[in-house]
Amino acid sequence: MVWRGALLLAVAVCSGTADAGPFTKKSSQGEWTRSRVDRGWVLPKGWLSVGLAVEHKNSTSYRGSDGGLRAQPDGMLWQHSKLWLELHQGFSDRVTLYGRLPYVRSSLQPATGNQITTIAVGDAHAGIVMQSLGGAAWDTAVSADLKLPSGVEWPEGTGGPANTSSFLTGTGITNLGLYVHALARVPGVASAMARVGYVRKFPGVVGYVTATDGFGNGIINPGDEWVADTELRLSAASFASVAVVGTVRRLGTAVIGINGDGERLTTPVRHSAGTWVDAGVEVSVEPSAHWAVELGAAVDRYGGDSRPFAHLGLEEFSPQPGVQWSSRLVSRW
Amino acid sequence: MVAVFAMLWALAVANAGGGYDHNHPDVRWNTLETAHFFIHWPESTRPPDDPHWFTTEFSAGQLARIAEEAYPKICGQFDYYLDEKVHVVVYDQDSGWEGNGFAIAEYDWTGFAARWGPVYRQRGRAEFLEDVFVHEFAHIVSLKAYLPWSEGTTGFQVGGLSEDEEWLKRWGFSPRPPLNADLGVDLTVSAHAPFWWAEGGAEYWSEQAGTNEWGSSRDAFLRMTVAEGRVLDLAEWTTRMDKTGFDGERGYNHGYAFGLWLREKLGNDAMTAMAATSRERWRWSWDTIVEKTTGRSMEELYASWRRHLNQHYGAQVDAIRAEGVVAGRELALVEPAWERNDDAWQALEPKTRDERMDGASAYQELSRYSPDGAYVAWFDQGLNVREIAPNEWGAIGGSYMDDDDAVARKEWSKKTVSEGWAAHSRVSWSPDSRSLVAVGPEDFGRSSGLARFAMDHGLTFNADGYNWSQLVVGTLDSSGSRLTVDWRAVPNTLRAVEAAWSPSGDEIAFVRYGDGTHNLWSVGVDGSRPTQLTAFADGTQIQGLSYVDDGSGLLLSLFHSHQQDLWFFHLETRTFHRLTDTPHTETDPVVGPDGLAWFSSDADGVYNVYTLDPASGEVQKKTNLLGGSYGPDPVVGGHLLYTAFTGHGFRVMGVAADSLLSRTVDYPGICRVEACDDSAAFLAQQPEAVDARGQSEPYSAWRSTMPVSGWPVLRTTDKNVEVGASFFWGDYVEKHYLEGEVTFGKDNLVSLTYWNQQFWPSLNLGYMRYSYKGHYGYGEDADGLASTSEMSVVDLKFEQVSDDLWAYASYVASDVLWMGAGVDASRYAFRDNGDGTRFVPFTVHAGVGAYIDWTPWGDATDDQWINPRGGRRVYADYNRRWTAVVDPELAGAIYDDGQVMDRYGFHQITGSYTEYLPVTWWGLWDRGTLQLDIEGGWISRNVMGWDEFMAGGRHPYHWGNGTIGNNVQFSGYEGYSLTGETMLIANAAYRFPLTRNMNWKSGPVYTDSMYLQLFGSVGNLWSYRVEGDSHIEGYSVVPDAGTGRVRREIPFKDYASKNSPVGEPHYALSDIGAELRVRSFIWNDFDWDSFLRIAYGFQRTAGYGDVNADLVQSSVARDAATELSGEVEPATLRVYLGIGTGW
Repeated sequence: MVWRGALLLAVAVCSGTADAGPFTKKSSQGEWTRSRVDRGWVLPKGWLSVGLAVEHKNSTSYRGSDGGLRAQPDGMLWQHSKLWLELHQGFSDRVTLYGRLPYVRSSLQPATGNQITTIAVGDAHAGIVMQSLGGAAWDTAVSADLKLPSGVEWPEGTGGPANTSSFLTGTGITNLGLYVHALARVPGVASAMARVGYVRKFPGVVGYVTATDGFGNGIINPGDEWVADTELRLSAASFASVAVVGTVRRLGTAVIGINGDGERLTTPVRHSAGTWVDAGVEVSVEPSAHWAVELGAAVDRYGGDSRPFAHLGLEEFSPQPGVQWSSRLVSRW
Repeated sequence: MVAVFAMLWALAVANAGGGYDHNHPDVRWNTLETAHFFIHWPESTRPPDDPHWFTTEFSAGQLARIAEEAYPKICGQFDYYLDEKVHVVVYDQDSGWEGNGFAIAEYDWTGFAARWGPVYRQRGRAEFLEDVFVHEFAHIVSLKAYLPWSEGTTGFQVGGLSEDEEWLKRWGFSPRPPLNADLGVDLTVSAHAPFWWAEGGAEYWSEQAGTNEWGSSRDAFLRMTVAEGRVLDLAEWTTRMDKTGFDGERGYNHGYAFGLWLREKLGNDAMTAMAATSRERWRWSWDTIVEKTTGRSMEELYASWRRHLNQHYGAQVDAIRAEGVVAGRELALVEPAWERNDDAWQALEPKTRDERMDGASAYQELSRYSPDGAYVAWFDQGLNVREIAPNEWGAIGGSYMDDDDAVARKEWSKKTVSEGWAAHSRVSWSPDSRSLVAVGPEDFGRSSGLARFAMDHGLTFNADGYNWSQLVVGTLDSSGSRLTVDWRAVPNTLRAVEAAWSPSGDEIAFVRYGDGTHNLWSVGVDGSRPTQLTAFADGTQIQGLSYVDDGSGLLLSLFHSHQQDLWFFHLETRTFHRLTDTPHTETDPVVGPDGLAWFSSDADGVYNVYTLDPASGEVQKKTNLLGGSYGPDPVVGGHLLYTAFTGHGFRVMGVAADSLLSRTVDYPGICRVEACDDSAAFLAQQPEAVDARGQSEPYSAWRSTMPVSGWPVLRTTDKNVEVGASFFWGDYVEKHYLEGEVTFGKDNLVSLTYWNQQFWPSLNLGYMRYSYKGHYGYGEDADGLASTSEMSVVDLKFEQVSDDLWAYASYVASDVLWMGAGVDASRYAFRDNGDGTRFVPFTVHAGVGAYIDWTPWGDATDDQWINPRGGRRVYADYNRRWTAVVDPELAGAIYDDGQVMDRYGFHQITGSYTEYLPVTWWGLWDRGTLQLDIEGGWISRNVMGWDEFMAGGRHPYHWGNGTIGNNVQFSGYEGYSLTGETMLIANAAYRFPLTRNMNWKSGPVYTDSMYLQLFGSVGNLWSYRVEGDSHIEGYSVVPDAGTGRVRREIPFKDYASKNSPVGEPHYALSDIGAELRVRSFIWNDFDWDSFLRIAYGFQRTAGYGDVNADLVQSSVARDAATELSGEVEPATLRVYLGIGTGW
């Protein structure tokens, strides 16, 4: 899928935004807004955007149960990367549909021993953004994001914390996030965005919860999540902007369990709840309406215990501390 | 009739490249680019003297001009100018597209033939290219201008399915007796516009562009529709999907008339303004768009328009009646009840009366009596030839046959020959009245009983992809007790349109089609001496061909330079002589027995029959009709047959000689009376055109690809969700196209199918990867007794992936016979605890096979979709297959039915036969159908379970593999629960209507009919079994060497051991059930059919794994002699409900 997306993108690159075939400019397409700070969350009607985004994080520390940062043993390095294939489509003047599929690379270089690396498809996202009320100086929107359990949910070998030989690329469960967005702007100069959302994580039987002395699998209810994002973006030129971003996530307590002779036996996962705060910067350059390049960096400033699901590599449940670099190349027509 | 298929996503034309069932690799496509269009036009690569050589160069050049002229006129109306260029495809390689076109706005794509079909009478214009192009381009612009959503995704699909009783238990229901319910829903949400606006609008906007007109034919059509109370109501005119007879054209006609009336009534262009209103945002109902645009409710406007129609056409009818109506009666042996119009007729429901008047065809037309008055030929569901004197018809002689006179009916049947193959082109009789010439298909076989059977039943093989028209001569023999006609094709007459038999008897003049133009040819009756008489290359159309008595020339109607008049063609000098020069349309001339030229003309606003005396120039009006006429057929004795416009179809009418009007009229433009313009100069006029050959380039599929479009899909299965999209991407001539679907979720699907249609067969290459995450409960039964309920359940989760590759070549041998051959390969793998990212391969499969499918339909009534009737389907396939078990954890082998399975090959044959018998039992239900099916399959050896045949009820929304195609066979049993290497199933079903023509619109859903079906199945699937002494190896039971064996079960002699619980041998399984079918449409144009099926299987069943489908597999085996599960599925009432899923 990723390669197909890359091929499509390559075709787009070769064709630019050609006048024939799949990249035909249509009269029904909405007007493109040149300045990033003047845009809302939706693509103009009829626009299709294909993006390749890369996220990479190196981590040499962890957070303990008190949230404090502690160094990993010398030589230990956790690397987590995602290559996202992203499709956004301007379904109507006010609605954008999207799908995002990650290819995940997780790698751990232990203090001693060989590096452990897993590369596989992760959990896909699909969603809808509906821009509701708005004006020249402000906009509001609501959105829904569905995270789908398309990733790998089986550890290799026994998969216990002391016996890690691979990492997971998916949580095995479905998330549904609902968000409210608000934006204020000084046209052509700056915009400020805020987003607040609630993510419901549906419990399910997953491959990485197993009975200690049996051969069966068990259930996980990872606990729901609150999310708040902010972004302050300044227009540096008509084709470039700079933003500072901040994110706050509050995770609930995860519960795992297996079936028994009667009632299902469930146990909370210690320290799985917590609050994480990230901050970062982003630079966006758009040489034309059809191309965009973004570069960014973010770092966690506060967090909960990063260990409960670390041995599985599940960053969604237990994000590891460190600087995350990101870049994105977008072609749209 | 221009049947326009707009807004359709999946095109029927996608059967093969270039718009026809057959590919034409001997055709070169060219592309003519203009400022706003690409015109793709075909030309044969054969030598120009090849019978199948053709070109569309002239048509393409004309289209280039017409299209650019239309661009500002159509776009300007909407103030919506297209940035994208529109691709116009000319479909002229074969027959079948005449008079048809389509437009798919979001694909920037329109296509049509270069010529009218024989049925253009409802609109009455011969200016086909201009007419159809501007109509279709109006679709393109209007259906872009109205779109509230993106052109890339004009809709989306949401669906879900909950299967088995497990989902009921999840919600806390445990019904007793057990209830097994599969509930599915499939909802398409789309941008939408009603039939009347989409099609009537295209008519209206093309008039506003100056290329269309509300002429005499449209007026006659609507006048008779009003007179017979057949105007479509507010619900009916929203959808084209259930329309039959004239109702399809009524949608075009009414929408056009409504648009004109709106403009007159409101003083503004409301029809056009609705597009802008629709574009603002998606709306549930189009009526709200009408109300917002006009300020008046749809109901109010419609009621006002109906009053206007009644008043306007009532006045027209009153005026004609005041003059005195001179009209015929329908040509029928039994007096039509609507003409008798007695109390019994009046007591019938209006819908019933309408349906009876409609009959089986709206096109009963174009009669021709033999010169001696002994035979008549006319069209009604094909060509009919009857030995009957004119005065034996009630319409002329005054007396009719009794409806219940079976003897007379049988006698008339013996004197009648009916042939379904004939094109609706007026026939011509030989001077001795013993032969006639008609137009038939190129693939013609009537030389023997076998050839006749093969042609009538589609058992022919069209090897070159061409089935053009040609002349066919029929020789009558009435010497026996039954009239017979010996038919033979006339060589050298391909693409013949209409013919006239010379008075000398040895020559036939005919009109031949080529590149949007007609030309005159002559040929000997035996096909010798083919001679081209004219050399038009300018879009000229010729029709109504008839020899004058002395054989010196032909009377005909010539459409040239936007004008249709009567002409005489002198054969010796090969010159035309104009007979009329009028702004009216003179059509279908024929030389009558009296030597006069009989023709139809709309000179007074209504198409009436006239005669022209070529010597004196005197014109007499012969009829004074309420509707209109064409195809006059003067008969010996002075009687007249003609084809009439009625509200229920075109009908052949008869008028006795003494009832004809015969009023001399002052007819302007008679060249015998007043000098006409220079004929030669007129005929030399050439339409402006672009030099298509000089300006075109070879077609490039790569440079002519469509915009990619897709439909988002969201599916749920129990608590899981999959999201993705289906998409389609091809080139405009459909040489290549790619379609597929990608969904992600718990299950991931990537399906890609590539079609190549550059060669004689269509090639299909596909790949599908489907991964499925599932979990089931493994029940550990402590006491080992299946009969006790205690059990501890362990959840087991797994992921299965299948990769399938296939390559198939398919070929359409005839309209109803198609076949294919190909290869396929599959790989199955699993991963679960401890596997990480690695899938562990389980099996690899490969096969090579071929299939043949013969589906001749005998009945094409309007209910064919919900109630297939009067035909049969025969299907057979053969596969040579190989399977290898490759799971390293199993050491590359498994046991199945007592035998080791590692690598093996086998033969597989399946076949099915379905007969749809029209049966009306005890007169209780009209349109009842008895459906009989038999399905069988045979696999040559013992194979692993996955290779065996599988049967059991399946919901239509369920996707996945399965061998049972018919939806009612064994629906009393769990899906896929019955397996074996031998399969024999027989099924009988009786289907009848509960209610028809409902015309019930609720929100976006229009419901047409409901049928009830009662059914039952009997049969079984047999496998292999272990007999004699056996022992356990691993989890499997295997025979002891020497004292045990594995043998194949013999159908009905052996019981099916796999599905038989202990002590209950099943020699045959049986079930019964009932199904309610509901035929509906949603958003005007999308099928949205629903059903409720209840079935009951009489036997308890056993089998492998989770037999009772509670998602818990018991660890207990059925008995010591097998590894089959100890679970038993009780006899259970099974309920299948599908909302919008089809059946």
